[in-house]
Amino acid sequence: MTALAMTALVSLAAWSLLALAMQRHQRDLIGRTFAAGQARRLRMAGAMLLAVSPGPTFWHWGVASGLPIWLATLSLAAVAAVMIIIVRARALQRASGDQQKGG
Amino acid sequence: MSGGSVRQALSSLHVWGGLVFGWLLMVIFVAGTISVFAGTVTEWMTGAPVKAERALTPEESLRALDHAIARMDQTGPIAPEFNFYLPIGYAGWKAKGGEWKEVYYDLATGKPRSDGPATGRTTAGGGHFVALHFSLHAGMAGILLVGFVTLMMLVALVSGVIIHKRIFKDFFTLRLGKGQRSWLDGHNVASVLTLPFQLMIAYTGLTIFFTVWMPASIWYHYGMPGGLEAELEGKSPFVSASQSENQPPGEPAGAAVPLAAVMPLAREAVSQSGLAVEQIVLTPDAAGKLRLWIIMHGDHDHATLLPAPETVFQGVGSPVRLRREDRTPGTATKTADVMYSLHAAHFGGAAAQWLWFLSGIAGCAMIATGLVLFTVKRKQRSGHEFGVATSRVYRVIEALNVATIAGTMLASAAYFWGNRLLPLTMANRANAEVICFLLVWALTLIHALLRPPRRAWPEQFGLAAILCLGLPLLNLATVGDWFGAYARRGEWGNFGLETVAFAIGLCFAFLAGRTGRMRA
Repeated sequence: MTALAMTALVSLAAWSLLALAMQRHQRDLIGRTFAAGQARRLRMAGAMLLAVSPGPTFWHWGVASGLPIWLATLSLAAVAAVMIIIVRARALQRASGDQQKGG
Repeated sequence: MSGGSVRQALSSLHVWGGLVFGWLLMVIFVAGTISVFAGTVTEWMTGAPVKAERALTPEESLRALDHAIARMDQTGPIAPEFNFYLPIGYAGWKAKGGEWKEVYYDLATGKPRSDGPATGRTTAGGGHFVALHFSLHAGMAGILLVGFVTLMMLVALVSGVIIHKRIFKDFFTLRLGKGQRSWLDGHNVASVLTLPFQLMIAYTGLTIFFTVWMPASIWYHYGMPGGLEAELEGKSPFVSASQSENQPPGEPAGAAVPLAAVMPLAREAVSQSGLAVEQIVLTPDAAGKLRLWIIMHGDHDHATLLPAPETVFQGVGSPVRLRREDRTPGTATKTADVMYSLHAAHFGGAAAQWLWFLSGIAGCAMIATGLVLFTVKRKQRSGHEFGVATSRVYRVIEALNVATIAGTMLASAAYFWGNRLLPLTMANRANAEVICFLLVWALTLIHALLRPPRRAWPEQFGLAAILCLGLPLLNLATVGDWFGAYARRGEWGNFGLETVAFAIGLCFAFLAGRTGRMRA
């Protein structure tokens, strides 16, 4: 289960970084956009994490069983990343709405 | 054909194919998702504390066999044709009149259990969902239909990828509260993010029954339908023709094996292999002589997609002696085994089972959002495809959506309730549970046809929520057990089932609330 949790966390981090490298989700997650260079670095970091994400499952289950387990974990981590984006974007929207009301 | 028109044609195929086959596919996916934990479902439905069937040690297996044989001797004159399976503790034999008798044994005490394979009530258990998943309870016709629908799912997946223009740009995009746009986003997210799983599950599902879809080679070698069955008739499934042909000269294929000889031979097999006995088959060959097989499995390595290696001992000669065969499956068998393991999550332990269960839910979401998207889109921009009957056809489509999405969930929850509420002494109780599922499902369709969709959705989801949330209470009232007690006793399967049912009940309650606020 530790191997699975590690893969899930690394995959979630990888997807989050890749989402952060996209302008639309930068606005969703932090309320502003990054410079092109920063976005490129985020994309590279995300891709690198994605590349190492199968490590724990391959180490624990071997390549044959680890591959399908990794792919399923990767998919579900991407769904989790989408959920995080939705929740975060709503929180930012609410916060900016409150600010406007307060102002 | 230009790229645009290819995309247009595939779009129509995806939309209409997805709609027509999506209804059946939804049922197949819901049943398949629950089937991942079919064993757990059966365990919960037996309704009494049962210990999980664990692999026995070689000594325990011999003790269990000894108990079973001793008990059989006490039950009176029996013909020695005999089957014995561990760790479920099953013994079956042919009585003198030719009638097949069977007993389940308590492995600890060796005493027969009067109430079937597990303590508790007679139930169709998780087997109902497995059968519904691959055959819709309709035998070979159902298997063929499920296969065709699965093939159409592959078509829908591939065409969906081609028509989705912004697959990478919209990878993480799910805009809620925007009507049709939100349904499309939801459908895309559920499909694209879990695409590897959906492709794998559809493909491996097809390969499991590949001899049904592609029987030409079997028909060529054994004759038209029935040829292979005729060839196999009278032959034991435990020995191949080539193995019989390769026997050393002078060694008879089988010898008369009396029941009394089974125990010493089983002891010898255990001491030779160091493995536990799992199956004993004592059955007549074509010449009427009783032949003996003792079947054992090595440890299953979760790192491999292949099943545990099999060791078979065959009784040969007179007096009977054992011949060991360590089975090494051929490439075709290995390929089939890998496909089946992948489909049914028979590898990777609980981690793979949970991942498959969650991915199955994502698959259900993909199909459900696709079906709903169709009606949402057509409501806004009807193509008048069916002339004056268009609105009536869309009404039926919407009713079918309600019955296959909310109705299947409701019928599944009712199936669990039926298990707890049907009288324990009822004849054909397991069948009655399945009838309960089918009846409720039929009622959901009638309800969806009679009620306007904006009422039918929340009513069916609401009832499904009540049934799921009330399941732990019903269990407490009828069996006297609840998830706290399951956790205390370490019965994690039962604990997990009730917890998941409760969580799903909360989701249904949320859906009931959301669909209740829907505009007509």
